Amino acid sequence: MSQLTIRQVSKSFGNSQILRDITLDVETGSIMTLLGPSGCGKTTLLRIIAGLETPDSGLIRAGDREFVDCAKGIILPPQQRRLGFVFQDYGLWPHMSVAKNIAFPLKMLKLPRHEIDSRIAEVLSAVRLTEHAAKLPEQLSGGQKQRVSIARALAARPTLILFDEPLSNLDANLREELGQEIRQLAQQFGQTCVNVTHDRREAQLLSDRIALMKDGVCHQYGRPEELFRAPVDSWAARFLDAGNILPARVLPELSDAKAEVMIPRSALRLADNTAKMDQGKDEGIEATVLSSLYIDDRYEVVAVVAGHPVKLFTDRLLSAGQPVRINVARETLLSYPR
Amino acid sequence: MTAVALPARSSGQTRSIRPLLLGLAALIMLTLVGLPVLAILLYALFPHINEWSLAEPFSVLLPNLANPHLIGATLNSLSLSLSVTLLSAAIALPLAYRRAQLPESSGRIWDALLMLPFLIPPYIGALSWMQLLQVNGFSEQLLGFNLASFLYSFPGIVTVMALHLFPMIYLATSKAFAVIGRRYGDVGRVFGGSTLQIFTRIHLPMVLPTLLSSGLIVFVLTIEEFGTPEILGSRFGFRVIVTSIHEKLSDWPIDLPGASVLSIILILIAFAAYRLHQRLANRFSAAIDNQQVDAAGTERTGRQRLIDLLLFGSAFFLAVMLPLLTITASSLLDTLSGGLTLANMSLKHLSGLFDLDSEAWGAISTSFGLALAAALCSVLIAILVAFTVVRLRTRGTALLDFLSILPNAIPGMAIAVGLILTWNQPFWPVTPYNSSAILLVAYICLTLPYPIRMLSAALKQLPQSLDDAAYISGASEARVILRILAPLLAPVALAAGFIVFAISTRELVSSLMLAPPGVQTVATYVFHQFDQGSINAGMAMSLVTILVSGSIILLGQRLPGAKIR
Repeated sequence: MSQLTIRQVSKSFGNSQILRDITLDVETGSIMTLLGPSGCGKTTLLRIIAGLETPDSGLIRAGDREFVDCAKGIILPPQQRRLGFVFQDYGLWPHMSVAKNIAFPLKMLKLPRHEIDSRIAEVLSAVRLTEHAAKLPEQLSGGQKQRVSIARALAARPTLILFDEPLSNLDANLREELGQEIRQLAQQFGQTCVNVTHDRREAQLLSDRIALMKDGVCHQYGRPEELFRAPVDSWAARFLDAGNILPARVLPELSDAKAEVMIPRSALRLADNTAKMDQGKDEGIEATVLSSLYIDDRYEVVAVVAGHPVKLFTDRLLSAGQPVRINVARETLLSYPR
Repeated sequence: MTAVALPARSSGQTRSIRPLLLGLAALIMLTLVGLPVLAILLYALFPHINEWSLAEPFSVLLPNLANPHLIGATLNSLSLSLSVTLLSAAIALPLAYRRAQLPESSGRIWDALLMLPFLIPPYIGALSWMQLLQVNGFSEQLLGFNLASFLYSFPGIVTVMALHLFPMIYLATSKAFAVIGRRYGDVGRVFGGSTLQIFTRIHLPMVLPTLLSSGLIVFVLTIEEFGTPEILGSRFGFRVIVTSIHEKLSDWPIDLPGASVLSIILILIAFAAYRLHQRLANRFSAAIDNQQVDAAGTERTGRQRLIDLLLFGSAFFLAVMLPLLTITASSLLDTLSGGLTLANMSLKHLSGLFDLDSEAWGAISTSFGLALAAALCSVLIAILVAFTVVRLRTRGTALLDFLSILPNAIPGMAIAVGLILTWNQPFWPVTPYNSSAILLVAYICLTLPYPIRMLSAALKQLPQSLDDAAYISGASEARVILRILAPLLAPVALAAGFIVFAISTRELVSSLMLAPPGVQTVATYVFHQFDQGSINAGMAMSLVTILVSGSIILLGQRLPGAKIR
């Protein structure tokens, strides 16, 4: 079942069209990420879902509630949408304690005091910050602040939680950890979430579905693995950093009509018998090692093929300048017409 | 369904009051700041504009521009401002450079002490130097010599003004030295530079933009200054633009178009200098940003300590102690002719100020009442303008932004002239002119840049997400302002109010030019006491002004929000 329905939403600022006919669905209890470079319209779309911006045309429905229906002139103000929002810069009110921050949306719902208290206790224990309830935001670390922000969003049991680059202010280790935690919390509370990011890693950490956006349109939509295994074109492949992108002519057996190919890094193997290379046996393509670094249990090798750098992984150390031969697993190779 | 039907293209219902806010802010700023400036321009170009006639355009402008008096006054203004700027820089630069070498604890104390000249209104400072150095002044009574011939000369005025203004350059450049000093100086030392080489090759070029930009502020403040040139310069026939405007408006026949031509020249010079200052200041802050400085002074030898003590001590003594001691001593003297003896001392003049029937008490209550009203109005307008400019960011806010810094760049005398030209017209059904209300308008206009700058800066530091988070939580616009923004801005608004209050209580030029007959403010009272020879009563009032406005400014800066600037 779809919890969020977006139909043909468009938005312009002055002469520039930010969003064109966006149509998307987010299933109940799932996390969808709007991924794209800056200026692609992803943040505008999120703010339109939140009610902080108004679209020029289109329809947005959450469950059975109409958020926006431009044709009927319906625009629900943000106050009435019952959303949670987790901001990049946390958006915690500095003059209120952690508990007061979480209580604010509950007070706006006019919940009874005991209900507010029990909800605060529930979400604070879910984000493991129970003992920090009385602190002011400035007394917390970045990761703790973002967990308070998540707790505040969860507490009101909103229709949807919107995340605006929730991990980008945090350092690398914390990102992984908090990314996992957000997924667990979303599952535990059965929350539907929409996430916005320009960072492929953040998208991998936080998505059931990804909508890749470019120039105000949805460029590609699917599960993370679908996007990263089969980017729809060379722009998507480059943006997702899904593999090595080379001109087709580098591979002799491919016809020239195909302008570019994408080869996943895992599809490249070093030929075993580099030593036999000068015997003229035609195995793999010729390359020269540019660099070889030991990263996470393996060597990350950058080699130059016909003037183009390619990246692959090996289990042995190579030295810079060393000639190698590379085998390509043809079946995973994607080609893009120019 | 809970949806509210609205036309699809309107923005959300919660934001419907926003265009109203923008309109209101623009209307207020245009009336307060825009009209006076416009009036000056129109009057200079069309001398009969008050009769709604564009007759004889330029008939005043051209002859005035060729007038030798005007040219002389303009040259005097320029050379005075330039000399004061150079002398201020010469005093400030060694201090600022040594400041970076001081331990942080004593450095902070010197910073605070060298701020004190700002607490002495410049006209009171000039009057105190007169008391000290004139024939039969305190120096002659105590030490047997006077420096009257120096004081009433061009170098004398320059020295008095520089001693008042050098802290402006000192504070800015010492901060710049602190930011760049340790880091780049250490790098220079590592690569083998000597102390002198490091100063001339690394430090000086890097602080130059700050030196220039703070120097330009001193330039603007000097060219705007009325009290000192009027008090000291009039004694040897030294006229500057500001005092010439005063003459044109106070001596018969009153020459409004002539005053407006002078005002335009004044505005042009000050505005150009101010814009240059802004550009330099922006460039420097862009060039070195985001650097955390942990300035710990370098080791100093005993000799260096002594030199530093002498350097900072003598600056403090000359710029703060001498004027303050003179003012205090004068205010305690029963009669001027009685001389500086214990027998001639009492609290007569000080306590006389608080005699409820006296002229002095009238001036105090007028000034404080007006200052309180100005603080309230100024801060309220500033909240409106800051919210509009920072949060709404719609078209039209650029104009507001410009109008809100304008009074900073436009000399108080020009504002006063503009207000006279605007409001002294028969066609207004109601006008504040010729009542105390015109003083209130002037104070608000002059002080507005301070609260607007403080509140805008504070509001900019509050991320938009704080508002958005509240809207999404279900809060209405009013609740966002009351529950989220108001508590966060309150300390800054209070601090800004204190500053407005303090400036308003000591404002001389506009009070002198605009006060209706029979109304005295603290500043005009002091000024007139000197004309009438009741110097000791004037000094008693000065002492009270300095103490009150000083403690209020200090209080304002101590408030938690005040550091956001």
